[in-house]
Amino acid sequence: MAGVFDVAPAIPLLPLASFFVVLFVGHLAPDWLPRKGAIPGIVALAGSLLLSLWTVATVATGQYANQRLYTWVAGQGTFSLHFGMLLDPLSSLMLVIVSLVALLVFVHSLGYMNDQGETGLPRYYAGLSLFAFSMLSFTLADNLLMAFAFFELVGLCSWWLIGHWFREDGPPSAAKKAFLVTRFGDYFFLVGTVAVLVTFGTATFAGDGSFPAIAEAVLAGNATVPTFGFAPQTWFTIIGLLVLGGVIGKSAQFPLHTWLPDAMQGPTPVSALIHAATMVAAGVYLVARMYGFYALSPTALGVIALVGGVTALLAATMALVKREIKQVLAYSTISQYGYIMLGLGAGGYVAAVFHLTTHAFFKALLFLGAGSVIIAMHHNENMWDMGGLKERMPVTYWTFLAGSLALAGIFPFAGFWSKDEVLYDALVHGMHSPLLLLGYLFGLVAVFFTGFYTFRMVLLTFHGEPRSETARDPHPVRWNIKLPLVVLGTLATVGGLLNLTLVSDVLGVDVSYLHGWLANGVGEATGHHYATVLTSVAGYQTGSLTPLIPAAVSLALALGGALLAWFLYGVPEPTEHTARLGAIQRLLVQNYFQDEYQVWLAERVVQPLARLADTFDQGVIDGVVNGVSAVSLFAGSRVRRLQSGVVVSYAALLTVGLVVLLVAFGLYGGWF
Amino acid sequence: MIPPTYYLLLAAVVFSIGVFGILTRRNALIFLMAVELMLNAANINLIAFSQFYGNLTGQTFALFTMALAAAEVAVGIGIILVLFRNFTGVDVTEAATMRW
Amino acid sequence: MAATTYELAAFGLFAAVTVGASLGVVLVRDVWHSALLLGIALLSVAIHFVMLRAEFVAAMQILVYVGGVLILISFAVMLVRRGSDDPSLSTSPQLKLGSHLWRGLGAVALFAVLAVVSLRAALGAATGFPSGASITASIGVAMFALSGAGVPSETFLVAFEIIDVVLVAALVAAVMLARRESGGRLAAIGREVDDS
Repeated sequence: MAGVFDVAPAIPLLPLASFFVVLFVGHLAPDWLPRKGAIPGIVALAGSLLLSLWTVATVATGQYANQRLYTWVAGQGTFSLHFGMLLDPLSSLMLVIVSLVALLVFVHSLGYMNDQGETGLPRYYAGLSLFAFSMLSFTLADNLLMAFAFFELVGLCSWWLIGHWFREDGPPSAAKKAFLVTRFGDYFFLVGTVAVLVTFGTATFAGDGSFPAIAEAVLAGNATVPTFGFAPQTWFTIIGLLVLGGVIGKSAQFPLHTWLPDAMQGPTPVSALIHAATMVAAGVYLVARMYGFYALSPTALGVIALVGGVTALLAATMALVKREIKQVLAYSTISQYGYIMLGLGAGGYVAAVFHLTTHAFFKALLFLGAGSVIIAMHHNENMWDMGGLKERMPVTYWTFLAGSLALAGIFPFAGFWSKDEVLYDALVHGMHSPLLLLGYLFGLVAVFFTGFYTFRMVLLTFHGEPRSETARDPHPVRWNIKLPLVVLGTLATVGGLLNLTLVSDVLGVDVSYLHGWLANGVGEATGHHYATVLTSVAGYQTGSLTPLIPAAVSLALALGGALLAWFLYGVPEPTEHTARLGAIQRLLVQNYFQDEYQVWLAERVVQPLARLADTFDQGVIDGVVNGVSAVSLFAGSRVRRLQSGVVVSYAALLTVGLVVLLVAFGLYGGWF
Repeated sequence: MIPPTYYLLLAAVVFSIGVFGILTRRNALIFLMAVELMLNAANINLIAFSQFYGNLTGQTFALFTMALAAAEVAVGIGIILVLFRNFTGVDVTEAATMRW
Repeated sequence: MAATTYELAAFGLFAAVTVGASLGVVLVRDVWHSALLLGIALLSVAIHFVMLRAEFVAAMQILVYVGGVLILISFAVMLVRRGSDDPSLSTSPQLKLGSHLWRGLGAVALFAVLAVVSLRAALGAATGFPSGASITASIGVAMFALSGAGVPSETFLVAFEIIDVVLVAALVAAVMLARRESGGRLAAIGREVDDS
């Protein structure tokens, strides 16, 4: 039996095959396409999921793969550019997450898109398949350049899918905004990639010749690389911050978060897959992948932590006042990714990956549940028109509640364990670093807000009396909506069992499986090594504090927020309490005017620059070219007047020319 | 015998007078006559050097030149007649329509 | 073999005639007088040829140029002349001088260059024709690439054939040019030609 590493390239290639099938059959013979392209996608992703699970099983026995698959530029005396595959604990875990969520989204789309009679479905399923291909390829990429290429490709698929209903005004504009904002961050990412290639001569993530290993050797004084006039530590920090630009854009961190709420214009399954569980995870996954490099630079880590903490708090405040269910979930996504960034920056590698995993499950669950509600409400997303759906949609309600409890971080759901570990890591490392402590405080305050807005959302949607006709008589949903909800609901409930660090610390038994899972890997890309590097190179010190106290504090805050929401909104006829905040509410509804600020930047700063460049291009460069031709034309129009038509002048010219020639020849030949 | 330098000078004078005629006069017939003068100047040179070197190439070639001159005058007269018909006059500066 | 005084005097006399007649051709007002002066110039050139022992060529010069070309030019002069009220008509030749002469400076420069070059040229040793050889016969032999010439020369057989074709072409061209277009109107005879 062939080893899984021989067939592992099929993991992304199966969805790619589905993409081509759906695209061509959907264009040439649409009637032959089963379920308008859903079935090829489901089959392909089921295959990818099985292969991913097999990969996990193989990796669990300690076998890893870090190999080149295809060299597309063979450098002569310099670095080469290639595609390759890195299968180690982190990437195989991510592969399972991505393929599972993608499969469930495909099934859900049967109910959301096919059953609702949507048009343009082959285009939709082709886009989903291409996205699955890109995301899976990104996950198993073995070098930074390949990761960048697929980073861009997932951005393209995001644009494609957000703008699915392109005949309306909103979706194409939102798609453009998403693409441009992430592209802005990706520009810095590209510069960072080039910097890595030029500095280290390689962009591979793991192994002996990988750039984190080389960087570590440089800082230990065992190797030298060109650092362009900076001290090595400074230069590595700069590279890390450049790559971080792409991360901030893709993972919707402050200040490049403005695209994510607008991306809710796309179909809800798309929001579930791309803007909750996978594409926005690409950014933080990249940081986790390169953690051996980031761990060498405390400045970069500090920036990551601070950005994460600020984003977590800011987004949580903005979610407090939103009226549409998907908007609340969008800001919640931004906020939770802020937590993951905080975890990474604070040195909690395992905590961050754990929160990434659980968040993928419960956020996808919440979005799919919102999709179910939206179907029931005939595409009306306004929570103030809902209410009382609990009795009418029990499956949706219970799974949504499970997801909400996980989001708010209530014991014993998955989110409690992961968010708590992130905050604990931030606190113990922050005891010796004010910056990390600040991040911890932001995260802690955001817990209260998270609890509040989550339960506000649940209570307004499902509890109380129905506030409109549609809520009294909702559209029924079928098995294809409910099945993914049940699967994800189960995962959201029991997902915490992956890594019960709290239990390990308190009871002394080793049930933190994720720690053990991530402690090994290829070369130095292991959790164990990262912890060593953090202490020795980045100077992170761990304070000693029992984990029970911070856990109790955050749980209390979460419960406090939930109870406040229950108090305000758990009544049959809730009122808009947020209106009482007055000017603050206006500020929050307008998202701190970030969108207006970015538009202002584009119109007042970028556009004049672009106009200047255009003037230069048309005036100077085109002017030179046109000037050359104008000179030629002018000269021609003057010289042609020699042809006056008068024979006598021709004869005169001939004579003069002859005389001149004779004189010239005579002088040259010595006749005179 | 007379040194050929004298004949060279004589030919130069006649040639230059021919060119002078072309440059100054506007009558087409005077043009033609000036061209005849130039041809004859060349012939003088040929014959003079033929005698100087004792080789008959010059004389034979002068005969050919003469034949060509005759042919050229014939065609030239034809052209002048056409010119006269189209421009009612033989002023070469009048016929200036083939210009820029 | 140096030139005797008599030879030099004869040369100078006839050279003066040639130059004077040429000047007259380009400076005289009336076209008919120019044509006549051209005839004198051509005749004097024939005399030069005789002095250079090119008798056959001299005979051809008179026959072709004076007897053919000059007559042709005379016909043309008559054809394009205006009536008796042409102000350029005159019984005695008058010189036509004026500002238009300045255009001829190029010709003067050309003459200067040619003169300087001629005077400074170093020519080889002089050899004349072998005495007693028939020049005319040798011309014939050279023309047809035969052998048995008294005087050396190159052969011109190909040129002879080609000149034959050229003459036929010129004949055809002249006839074609002189034809009147069918339905074309007859142009008015002559017009005052002003040189200045």
